[in-house]
Amino acid sequence: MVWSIVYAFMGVFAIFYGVKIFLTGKVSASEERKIADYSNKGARTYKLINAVLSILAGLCITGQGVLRVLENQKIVEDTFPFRVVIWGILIVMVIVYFIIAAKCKNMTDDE
Amino acid sequence: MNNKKATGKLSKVLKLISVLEKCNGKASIGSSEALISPKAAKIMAAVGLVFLTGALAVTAYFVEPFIAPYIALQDFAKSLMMILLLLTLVLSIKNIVTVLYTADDLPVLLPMPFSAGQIVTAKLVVSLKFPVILSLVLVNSTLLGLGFNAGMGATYIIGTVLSSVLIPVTGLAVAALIIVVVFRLFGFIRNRDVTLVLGGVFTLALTLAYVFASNTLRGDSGSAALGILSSVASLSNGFPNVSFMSSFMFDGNVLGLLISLAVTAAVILLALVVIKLFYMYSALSMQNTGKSNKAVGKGDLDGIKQTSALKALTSYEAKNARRNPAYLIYGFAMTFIWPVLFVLPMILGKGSFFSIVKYSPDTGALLTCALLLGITASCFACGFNILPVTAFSREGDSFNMLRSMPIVFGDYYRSKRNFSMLICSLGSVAYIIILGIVCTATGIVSAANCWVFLFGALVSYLCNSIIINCMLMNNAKKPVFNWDSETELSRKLGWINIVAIVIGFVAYLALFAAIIASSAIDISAVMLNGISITLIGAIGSAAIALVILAVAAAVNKISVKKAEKSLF
Repeated sequence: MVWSIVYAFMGVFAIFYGVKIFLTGKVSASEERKIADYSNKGARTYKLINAVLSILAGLCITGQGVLRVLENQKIVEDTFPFRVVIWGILIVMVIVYFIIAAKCKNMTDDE
Repeated sequence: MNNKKATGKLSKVLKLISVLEKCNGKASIGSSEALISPKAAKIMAAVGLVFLTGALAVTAYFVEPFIAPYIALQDFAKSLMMILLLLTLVLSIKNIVTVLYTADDLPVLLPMPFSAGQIVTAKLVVSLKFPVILSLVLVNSTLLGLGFNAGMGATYIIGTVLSSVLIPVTGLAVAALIIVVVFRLFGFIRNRDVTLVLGGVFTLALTLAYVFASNTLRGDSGSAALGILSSVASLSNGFPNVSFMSSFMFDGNVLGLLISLAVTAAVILLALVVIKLFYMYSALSMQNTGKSNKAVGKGDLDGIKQTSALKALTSYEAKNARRNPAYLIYGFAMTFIWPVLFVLPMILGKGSFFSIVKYSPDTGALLTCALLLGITASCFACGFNILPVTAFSREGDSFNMLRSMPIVFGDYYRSKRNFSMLICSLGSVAYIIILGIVCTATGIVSAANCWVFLFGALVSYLCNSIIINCMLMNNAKKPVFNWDSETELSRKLGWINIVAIVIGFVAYLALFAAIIASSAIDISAVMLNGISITLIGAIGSAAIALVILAVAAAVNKISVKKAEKSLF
C-alpha cells in the first residue's frame, strides 16, 4: 500500500510539473540556463518534449500505483504483464526524450 | 474623476505586483513564454483549479461516512481552519521578512513612480497569493464536500466560503503585525545575523516537535491520529475568528459571524496602521546592518587590529555564508540537525535498541562502533552541507575581482577549507564528544573506555578533511559563476555529497548492527580461527583509521595545487 501512495505522489507531481511547463513555458533554472544558447525552435521543442513526457510519465507512474492497489485488493489476480508493459513504455519514452533533447541543441530557426 | 484616479492607482499596484513576481523569479501562468497561447493558458489554469477543487469535493463527499465515526464535522472544520491559519502565519512570517525587509529592493522601488502605500500593498499581495489559493481550494472543496453529505444548511456554506478567504488574510495580517512591531521595537533584531540565528533556533524547535509528535503517533491506529485532530480543534478557542465562525456555521449564531468579521477587520486595520507607522523606518535602516547610534571616532580607527590575510579571508568567507538565508538553510541547518532526524527517532522510538542491551560492550567492539560513528557523523555533516561544494561558485561575478587582487591562492583556498571544516566539525566532531560525555556520565560506557570517543572524533575530523578537500577540488574544476540567485545555487548537492550520504547510510546501518550485536550477545566470546572477533574488529578499526589518516594527509597536500591549476 505504501508503494501505491509513493507512486501516486510521484505520478501526480510529474503531471503537475508537465502542466506547469505548458502553462508558464519555464523549465527548471538549470535547464533554462542549459537551453539559453539554443535557437528559439530548439528551446521550444525542448520545453515541449519535457512537458509532454512529464505528463505521460506521470500517467504511467500513477498507473503502476493503481495496478498495485488492484492486485492488493485482489480485483486483478496478476498485474505483472501490465507492469512490464508500463515499464517498457517508460523506458522507450526516456530513450525518445534523450534523442529529441540531443537534437534540440542543433536545431536552427531557418529550418 | 475619482474613479479614474482609483483605477490608475490599482493598475499601478497590479503592475508593481507583476514586476515583484518577475524579480522573485516566479514563472507566471499565461506569460508570453507559455507553450500555448497566453489566453488558453489562463483559461486552462482556471479550469484546472476548478476541476481540482471539484475532484477534492467529490472525494470528501464520499469519504465523509468513513470519517464521521471518529471525528465530528465541527471539530474537523475547526482543525482544518486552525491548521490553515497556522500554516499561513508561519509561511507569511518567512515571506514577510523576505519581501518586506531582506529583499533589498527598496532603494530601487522608492525612486519609481509608486507611493510607499502602493509598494507595501504590492509586496503584501505577492505574499498573500499562495495562501489564498491554497485556502480557497482546500477549505471550499473539503468542507463543502463533507458538509453536503452531512446535510448541513446555508449558514455552513456561507461560513465555509467566507472562511476560505478570511483565514489566510487574517494569518498574513497577524504575521505582518508581529513582524513589523518586533523589527521596530527590538533594534538588535535589525542585525541580520541575530535574525538568522533566531530563525535557526525556531527551525530546530519545530524539527524536535515533529520528531516527538511522529514518535507519539507511530504504530497507533488511524483513530488516534484523528483524535489528535480533535485536540487541534480545541486550540481554536484561543483564536476568536475561527471559534466564532464555527459557532455561526454549526449553530446558526449570527452574532458569532459578526464577531468573527469584526476580529478579522480589527487585525487587518491594526496591521495596516502599524505598517504605516513603522515599516519604512525599520526597512530603510536595515539597508545598513551596522549598529545604529554609534558614531565612529578617530580612536576606533586606531584600534583596528592587524590580522593575517588568511584570518581576514576566513572572516570574509564566514560573513558571506552566514548572512544569507539560503546558505543558512542548506549550509548550516542540515549539518546540525541530522542527528535529530536520524539518531533520535531510533533512541526515542517504541522498542528502541536500548531495550535489548544485555551486555556491556568491550573495548574492541567499542572501537569498531567509534570508527563507524566517526564515518557516519562525518558523511552526514559534510554530505548535507553545500558550503564546500559551492565555495568558489558562491563568489559569482566577484570572483574576477578577487582574482585580480594580490591574494596568495593558498590563503584563499585555506580560508574556504577552514571555514567549511569548522562548520562540518561542529556538526560531527562536537556531537561525538558530547555523546561521549553523556555516555560516560550515564555509565553506558565505562570511564576506562571513554577514550574511544576521542578516537571516533579523530576519525570524523580526518574524514571531514578528505570530503571537504575533494568537494573544494571538484568545485574548483567546475565552478558556476553565472547563477541567478543564491537559493538556486545552494539547492545543488554535488555528486560527492550524494556519495558521502550513501556511505553515511551504509556506515549508519553498520553502526546500529554493531551496537545491537555487541549489546545483545556476548560478542567477545565469538571466535574466528581461535581469535576473538572483537580483537579482529579492534585491529581492523585501527588499520582503517591509519588508512584514513594517510589519505587525509595526501589529499590535503595535493588539494591546493590541484585547485589552483583548475581555477586559473
